[in-house]
Amino acid sequence: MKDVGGIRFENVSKWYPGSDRPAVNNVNLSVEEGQLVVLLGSSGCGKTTLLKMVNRLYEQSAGTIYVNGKDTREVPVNELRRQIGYVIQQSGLFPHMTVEQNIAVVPDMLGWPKERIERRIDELLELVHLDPGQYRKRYPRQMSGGQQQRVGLARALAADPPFMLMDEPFGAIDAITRTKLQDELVSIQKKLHKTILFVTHDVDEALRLADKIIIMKDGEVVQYDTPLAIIAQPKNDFVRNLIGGEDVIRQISLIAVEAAMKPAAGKDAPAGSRRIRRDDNLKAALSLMLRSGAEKLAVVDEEDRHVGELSLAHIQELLRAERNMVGVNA
Amino acid sequence: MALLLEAYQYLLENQSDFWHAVNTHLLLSFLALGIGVVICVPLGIYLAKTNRGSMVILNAVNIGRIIPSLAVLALAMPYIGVGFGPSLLALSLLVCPPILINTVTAFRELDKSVIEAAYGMGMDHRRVLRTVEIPLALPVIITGIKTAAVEVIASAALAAFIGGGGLGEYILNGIALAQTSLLLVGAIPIAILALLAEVIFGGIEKWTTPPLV
Repeated sequence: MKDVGGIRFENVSKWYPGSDRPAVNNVNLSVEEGQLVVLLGSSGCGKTTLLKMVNRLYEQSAGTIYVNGKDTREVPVNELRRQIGYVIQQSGLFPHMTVEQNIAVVPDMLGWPKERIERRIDELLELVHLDPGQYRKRYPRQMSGGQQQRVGLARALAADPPFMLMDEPFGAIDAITRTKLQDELVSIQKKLHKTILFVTHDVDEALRLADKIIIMKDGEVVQYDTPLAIIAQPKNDFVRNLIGGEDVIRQISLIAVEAAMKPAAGKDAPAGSRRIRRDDNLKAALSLMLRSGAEKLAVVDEEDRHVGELSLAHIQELLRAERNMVGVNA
Repeated sequence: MALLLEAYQYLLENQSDFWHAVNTHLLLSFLALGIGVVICVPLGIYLAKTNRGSMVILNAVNIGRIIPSLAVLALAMPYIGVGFGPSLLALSLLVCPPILINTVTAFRELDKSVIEAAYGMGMDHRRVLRTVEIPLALPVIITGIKTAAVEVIASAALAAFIGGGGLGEYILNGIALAQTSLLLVGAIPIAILALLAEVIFGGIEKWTTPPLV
């Protein structure tokens, strides 16, 4: 079975020479086109190995990986890599090239005309919120870590590849900047709909970004599900501990209001009701209810249009499955 | 001061000889440097990329480094004779260690993640070498060439011992005739040339290093 458009792993294993257990053990899963899927696990769990096999920086020992429906080993390696944007920790920018030269690398290789590359550089810098006039001629070392990572993202997006591999891209960035970059990645992804594999060991990051999460341990996939399903139905104690055990408040801080709200079906918000954005989290919504005493909140979108309503009952409903699990294990 | 004036006087009276000596001196130095660069930079890149045997060669080169230049010339003489050619050969051996060692070090210490990013973007080996590795290693390689240039300009004076010509002849004659002013006619220009090489290569080094601030 090959899913056209996405990434599919079929019986993929990887043994490193001199190691007695596989780094990746018989992985079978597909990443759907247009989804942001996070590979989550502690260091040594095989998540980075799995990622790097997709663009063949590592070669799998067994099994097959399909990208866009094609066996990666049957596509010329550099052709494969040019359709997969690659972002790594510390950005991996070329320190001897300016920002514009860094971004131009792949378009140059693809033989784009000069004017098109120039236009693309400005476009991308604006996309990642860096002023082209100010930053085009800078060298990476003349920028902060967060800015470098923005350029790294712009460079990976340069030739508009349908796929992105991101290897702990925000790992070395301070917490405040990291949250900002995560939000921006989400909003960029909403516009561009890339198929993204994103490696992290940061659970909050995974829950905040992912459409689906692959939890790995000792080279094996433990659970592959949506963030909500992972919180509601952790497959075993390992997953339960990983996502914070019974700390409901922490968990709902990672779930968007959208996930629990009841759609409004075109009606206007009741006059005087408290508003909350649909991409805010449930903890913020709960706080607002507690502070204001409101039983229902009006959920609005980015343009302040009324899209739904949220009450405590809705949140309880969402968490019921999980409370059952806790009850069983208490 | 009187000595300097005397040396200057001598120089004015023998201008064509002097410039001929400067020419030979620079020719020897830069040909040797050129040969060293052409051989040692590719060799260094190769050694840095293949671990096999590279430590043996590097250690041998390092040992070669502690043999004094004069000894290199003296040892070479019985086998390769005297004159410009043998001097050039001996001086070429002399420039190798700093260039080779710096090239290997520069390539070994390249940031692995940057190289991986380059491959990850779909560059082939040649492109990675040309557009990423060499430009990044260049400042350190230039430092090696700078060291070699200063060393070879100073050591080219010794070529006179085996009939290679150059400014060393004034020093040799000055010593033989116990005439310090004549010695200075060779020694001072050599010092100036060595300093110039230092300054010029220092400039190139700075120019090839990406700005930090």
